[in-house]
Formats: sequence, structure tokens, C-alpha cells
Amino acid sequence: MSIRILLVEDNPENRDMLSRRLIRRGYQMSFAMDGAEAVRLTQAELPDLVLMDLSLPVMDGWEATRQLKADPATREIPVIALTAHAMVGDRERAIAAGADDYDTKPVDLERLLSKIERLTPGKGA
Amino acid sequence: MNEPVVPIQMTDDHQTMRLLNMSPVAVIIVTTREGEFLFANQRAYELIGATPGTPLPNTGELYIDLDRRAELLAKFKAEGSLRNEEAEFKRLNSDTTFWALLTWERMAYNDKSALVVWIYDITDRKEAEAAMAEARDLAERANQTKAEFLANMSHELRTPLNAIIGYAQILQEEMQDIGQSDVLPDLKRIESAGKHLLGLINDMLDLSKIEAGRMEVYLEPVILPRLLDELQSMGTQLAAAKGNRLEFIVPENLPVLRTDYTKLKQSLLNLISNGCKFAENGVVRLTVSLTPTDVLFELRDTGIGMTEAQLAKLFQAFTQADASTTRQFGGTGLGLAITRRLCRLLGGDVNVTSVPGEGSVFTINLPLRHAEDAPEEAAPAERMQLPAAGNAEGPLVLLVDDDPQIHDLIGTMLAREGYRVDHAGGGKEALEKARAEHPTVILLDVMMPQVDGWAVLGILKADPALKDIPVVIVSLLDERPLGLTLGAAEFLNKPVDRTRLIDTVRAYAGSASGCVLVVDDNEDDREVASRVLEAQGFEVASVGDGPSALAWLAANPVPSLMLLDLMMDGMNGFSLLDKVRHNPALRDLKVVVLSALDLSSDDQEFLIERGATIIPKGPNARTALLKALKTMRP
Repeated sequence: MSIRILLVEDNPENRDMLSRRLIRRGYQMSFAMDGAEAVRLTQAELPDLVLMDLSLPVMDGWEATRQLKADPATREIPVIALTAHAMVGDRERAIAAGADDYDTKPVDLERLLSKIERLTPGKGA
Repeated sequence: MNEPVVPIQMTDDHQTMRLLNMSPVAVIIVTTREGEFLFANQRAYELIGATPGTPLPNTGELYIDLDRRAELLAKFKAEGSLRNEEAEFKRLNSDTTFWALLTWERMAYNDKSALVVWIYDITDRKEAEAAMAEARDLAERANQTKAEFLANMSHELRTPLNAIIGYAQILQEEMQDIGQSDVLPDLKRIESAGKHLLGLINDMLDLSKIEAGRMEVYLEPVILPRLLDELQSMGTQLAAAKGNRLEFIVPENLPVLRTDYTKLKQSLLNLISNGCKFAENGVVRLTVSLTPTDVLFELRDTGIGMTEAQLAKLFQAFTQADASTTRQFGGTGLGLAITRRLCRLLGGDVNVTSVPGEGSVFTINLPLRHAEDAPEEAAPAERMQLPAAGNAEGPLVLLVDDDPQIHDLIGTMLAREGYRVDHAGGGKEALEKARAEHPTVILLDVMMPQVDGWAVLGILKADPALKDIPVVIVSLLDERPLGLTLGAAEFLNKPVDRTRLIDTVRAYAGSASGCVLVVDDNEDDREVASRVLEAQGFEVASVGDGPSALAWLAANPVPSLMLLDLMMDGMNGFSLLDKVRHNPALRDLKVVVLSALDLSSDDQEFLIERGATIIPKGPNARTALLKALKTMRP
């Protein structure tokens, strides 16, 4: 079974670009457009990993991450925070919210893949 | 304090009065004590707006700013006179004001003790200054608006551009998969053009920020080997594109610089990228060297070189050596202009020499400013809610992090294990505390403002008095190899895993709670006791009989506690305790007796006389033991 990733991203082009590249590499993708949907879908689908944009409508990625990490049912699911602002503060805020790792957009695919692999050991084909 | 007063006598001499009244400086004379009006010249009447010939009101009532008046009076009292002080006054019978340059002097006037006030009208100057300040504010606001516009605009430009670049990359991957490689060169062109445009936008944003004076410099301690490592890995690819070899020549023992890491890196990268662009199958060499005042970075390439005329235009924005270079070599033409501006922002400069056909040498010089010249950060430890300091006698752990939450979290973990914890909120404070307290272990964050963790590590390891303190890096960054190379004892990633943290600290600081000697002839009981004690952070040694206990005590430092079974073959617990107390070195050794016996009152007395705490074996023993252990920790 392939690794299931929930991609939380409100920009349709970014969502499409990243998911197409991940699907080509055998990942199974599902999507959320805002933080609240991300929390709901993570609880319902229990994906293997969440890729979380931080600037999101309704509920931002920091808060969504905090909620996922506060819920015993979703706490163990690794979260990689993604943001366009390559700022130290953003990264630390993301980690403080409980994110397991962090990457900047535009995505360097190889680097992101290695982070995904590190956080989903022994899963997938 | 008061200078001797100069007596003046007013005369009825019309000539003198005319001169006095013609003076462009207003003169008012009042009595020192009551401020009673004595004399004013014509200019004074004009300035204040009073009818000539009438007594002037007390000017003290005309101050716009009463605090300023109090300030001037205090200064006059202290110094005996005033020279060229500015103050604003109301005019009589008008809602206008005037600015005055005041001089006060004590004099005798017609035998009275008097105060002479000279008032020079500076209203015009003040208004001009205000107008200038307003114009400057306006200009600054306009500049700020421009810079903000550019920042936003560049973000707006970058978003669709990232999509163009991204889709060009995806299409290349997908076309390759389905074997349509004939379209690949075109897709590659779209990607390259997109990246070129992105570079231009980034450069223009940088340049406009610098020109608008909005490029901020963050002076921080910079460990050059780290920066050069990063440059080497970035530059190697650049060099390979045209078959160049990138070489670094770096002396040992470079000092920790105090400069802006990102800007220095960008400047050097610009030079490397420039060298790699203009050389082909050659060598691009970066040589670092020190003079007494500066650090020099010399970038030498074996490229096409430049003529005098080309050199003259080199650092101007939007100008490559000639227009055709842009087409031939790419680049925005802004790189060197930005580099020069960045270097000057950092207090240094970049210069170039070149021979056409042989190559160029660019040299960046930066002033040597050492990391420790940093201004102290605002006492962050005071802002933090510090957790309990832990065992007053435990090993001291210095925790260095700018995040109060980390202090709270890790501090609590360590204190719970019985370590003494001291806190530093920044690099400079960390170094001071390390020197003053010589902690057993230092836990060090990397990303801190001003003096960062790498700099602290570098300074600690360079100081003979401090270099033996084990430093454990606790960081979000995954830079374990660098950390260990720079001399860290261990590298832990945030978020911190409690068990790993405690194990690591224990490995370098030893157990916080000290050592317990367990003396029991029953192996199972020894095992259980050891487990309980180890869970509490004690080191445990255990022996199975009295003579072994004495041998252990003779060979080791006095433990924090001896846990003693009474019923043992050979030497029983009673006689062991007696022997222990006869050794002066062990007189204060804390002893807890674990006993299954229903002790007679004589036995109890014997034990208590020898300072033992008695815990009966059984279901409550564990709780009782833990309670006894707690009393050991202040």
C-alpha cells in the first residue's frame, strides 16, 4: 500500500504542482484547502503524513498543527510545515506548534522527499 | 558657584539708550529675588507684544513648556548663568508664539541684585527646521511606501513566476516519462528564462532596499569555516557548469567575526558565481587571509579579464563590462553593484584588479570585529519564568536558549532529575555565566539573536579555561556533523526527547543525585532496590555482604546513601553499621535500613543511635524509600 499524504494548501496551482510530482513518485494524495478542513480530514482519514501550508484561510497552519498534536488520535501523524516565507521565526513557530519538520516554498522536491521518507519509515511499498 | 556680579549703572545718556533700543537682541532686566520688572529695550517690547513704556509682565508666565522653564531655572541655579538656551514663549495679546535663544546673567543694576536676560529671536530658524523635518518625514514615508510597494510587488511577481518554473519542471519530468524528449529543450528554456527573471526580481528588490536605506544589517558572530563550508557546497555546482575547479585556501584559527552572515555569504557567492561565469575549464580560487585590522577574501579567476574602461563601470548597477556580456554570459548585471553596496554596509568594500585575457582578482575586505564586542542583549533571564533550580548540590547545567518556553521545559526536566540549572537567554550571557560558574555541562541552542550558538561554541572551545566543559547542542537545525566538528560533545534535535536528553546529560554530568550503595544478600531485593533508585536518577552500586560493602566504601568516594539489609550471613547489618560509624570518614554517611524483622526496641535504639533511618520491608517499602530519598534533596 502506498503512503497516504494529506496536502493542506489553498493555492490551486501549488496544490496541483506538488501533488502531481508526489503522485508520480507513488504517493497517494488527498487535499484540504484550509486549516479547519485539514484537522477534520486528518481525523477522518488518518493519513501517514500531513504537508501543511502555514498561511491558510479559516484556520492557519500553526493552529491546525497545534490541534492535530493535541489530539491523541492524530498526535503521532508527522506534520511537515511548508511556507513561502523563508523566515527563521516562521520555522520556529511551526516547530513550536508541534510540526515534525519544516520546508520552504517553492519546494525543492528532492529535499522534501528525503524529509517525507525520514518521517514515514517502513511505510508504503 | 555664582560668579561675582558685574555692576552696571544705567545712565540717562540718550545716545546709549538709542543704541540699546536699536539692538536686534531683546534685553530685559528684572530683580533677582521677586522678578520685579526693571528695564526692557524696544526689541523686547516688540517681541513680547507689550506696549512700550509699560512694565513687562513676568516672562515666567509666558513659557509654552513649563517643564522647560523648570529645567532652565534649575540649570541657572546650579551654574549661575545660562548661555544660548532655546525656549518657546507666548506673545501678549496674540495667539502667536516665538522661539528664543536665551542668555541669563546676574548683574547689579542700579545697586539692586538683578537678572539680565538677552533674547535672540530664532523663530524663523525653528520654523525652517520644522519644515525641513516635515519634508524629511514626508520623503521617508514616501521611500517607505516605495520599498513596501516593491516588497509586495516582488511577492506578487514571484507567485506566478514560481508556477511557470514549477510547471516547466513538471512537464519535463512527465514528458521524459512518456518518451516525448523532443519537447524537453523548449521546456528547459522556459525554466531557465523563468529562473533568470526570478533572479532579476530578487536582485532588483535587494538593490532597491539598499538604495532606500532599508537594507538592515544584523551584526552577529560569524564562524567563517561554517560559512565557507556552505559556500563550497553551493559553489561547486556553479563551477562545474563550465568545467571550472573551485578551490578554497583558508588559514587555521580564523577569529569569530562580527558581521552579517547572510550579506557576507551573498557577497562571496556573487563573486564566486561571477568568477565561474567568466572562466572556462579554469580555476576559481577563494583565498582568505588576515591583516591586523581586516579579513580579506580574494577571489581569483582564470577568466576573460577586463580592460581599464570595463573596470571603471564594473560596480555600477545594470552595467556589465559591455552590453553583449549579458547576452553571452547571462546574469542581471546587478550582482557586483549589490556586492559593493553590501560590503560597504558591512563597513568594508570590494575592489578589483584585472588583466584582459588572464583573469580578474576581486578582493573583499571587512573590518575585524570580534564576536565578543557585541552589545549585551536585554537581560532575557529576567523575563523568563524560571523553573525550580533543582538540587542545590547537584551538578550544574547551564541552559542556553533565547526561547523562554525551552527554559521552562528543559529546565523542569533537569530539575526533576536533581540537576542544578542555570539559565542564559543569549550567547553573551552564556559566556559570562560559563566563565563565572564553570558548569558541568552546557546545553546550547544554535539559533539565537546576536551571539548565536555556533559563536558561543567557537569561543568556548577556544578558551583554555572553558574548552573542557562538554557542550550539548540542542537545535532545530540538523547540523550534527558541523556541531561535532566544532567541538560539541553531542547533538540533540528539537523537539527534545526527554529520555535522550537526560541520558545525554547524565553521560556528561554524571548522576544528579549521587550514588547509592545497596547492601543486601538477596539478589532479587538488590535488583528491585537498584531499579527504584535508578529511576530516581541515582547511580547504584550493589554488594551482597558486609565485607564487600566495607571494601567498596574504602575504594570509592563516599556515596550519598547506603541502603542496608540487616539479615545477612557473616557480618550482619548491625555490625556493618557499627564498623562504618567507627570510620571517621563515614561518620556522616546517610544510612537507610531495610528490614524484614520486627525490630526489638534495643535493636531500634542501636540503629537510631548510629543515625540510620529504618524502613520495614513490605508493600509500603517503596513509598517509604522514595520519601526518605526526597528528604536527601533540599
